[in-house]
Amino acid sequence: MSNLSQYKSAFVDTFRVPEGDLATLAYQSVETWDSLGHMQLMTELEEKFDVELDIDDIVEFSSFVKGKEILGKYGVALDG
Amino acid sequence: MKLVHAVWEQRNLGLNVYEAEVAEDDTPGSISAQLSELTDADYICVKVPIPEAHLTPTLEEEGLRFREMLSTVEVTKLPALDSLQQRYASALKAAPATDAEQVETFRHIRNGLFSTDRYSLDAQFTAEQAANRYCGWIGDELDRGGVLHAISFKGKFVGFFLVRETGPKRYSSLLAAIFPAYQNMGLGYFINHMAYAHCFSIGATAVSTTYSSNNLSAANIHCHLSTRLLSQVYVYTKHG
Repeated sequence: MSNLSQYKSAFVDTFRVPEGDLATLAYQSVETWDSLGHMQLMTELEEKFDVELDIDDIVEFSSFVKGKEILGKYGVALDG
Repeated sequence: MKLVHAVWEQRNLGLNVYEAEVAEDDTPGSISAQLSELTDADYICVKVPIPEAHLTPTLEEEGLRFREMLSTVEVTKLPALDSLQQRYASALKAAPATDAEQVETFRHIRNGLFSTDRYSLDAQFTAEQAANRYCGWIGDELDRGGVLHAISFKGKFVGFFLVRETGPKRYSSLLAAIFPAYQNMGLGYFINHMAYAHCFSIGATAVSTTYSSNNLSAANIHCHLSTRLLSQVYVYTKHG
């Protein structure tokens, strides 16, 4: 499974949203992306990509799109 | 019904308010009779414990409207934080609020910090009345021994929680909030966790809290943190 597929599945599994909605998904844009959901997503991504996110990056992780940029800083390529 | 003339709401809302709770021995007739005596009421609030739910049609016939369900939960042991949560929580600190932090908290409340309570959602109340009620309530809880704690995240004042001892080794976590500029950062779970953890650190063996069905995020957090559900009540109201 590609990095991008794993990235998408983390959102789909955590927030129970269809894959087609991911491009515009942001914190609080769905009821399941609340503070508890946010931490579940961060844990899921750390485990999937074997990274340890900095606190500032957890704070800044505000959308599906922004998350790609943040994970890129950790060497996780999500463009394919 | 257990009926209380909520005189403190004159200060908070500027209205003559009665609060009632339906009891086990109530009947449709007894409820209607008691409500008909409240001729000077500007606002009536009636709570219906779930076991008395069969009496809610009477309240609707008397012109009261459903507003929310209040759930009270108890925590006797907190779920452990995982390694990521521990890392995040390490950037959070709580301490009794200074006078300046208390003023700042009230300023945020008056600017509309809370939006899911039955007063904020009721178009017949102004935003000022809804905010006044929170500020008055917090003041009353501080007078009763409650302690307002300021929460800092990486050194910035981001929110607060309010707790009060309610009995031997028992505390209530009364209110918690994150200020608007710091919402959407995943902090909501932690401020509630911190409030409970603080109570346990000062000797509590059980901590309770009450949340509204209108606040799904709070419900989700307390569902995750709580050990058991203590009670649920339906809330009906009527303007005079």
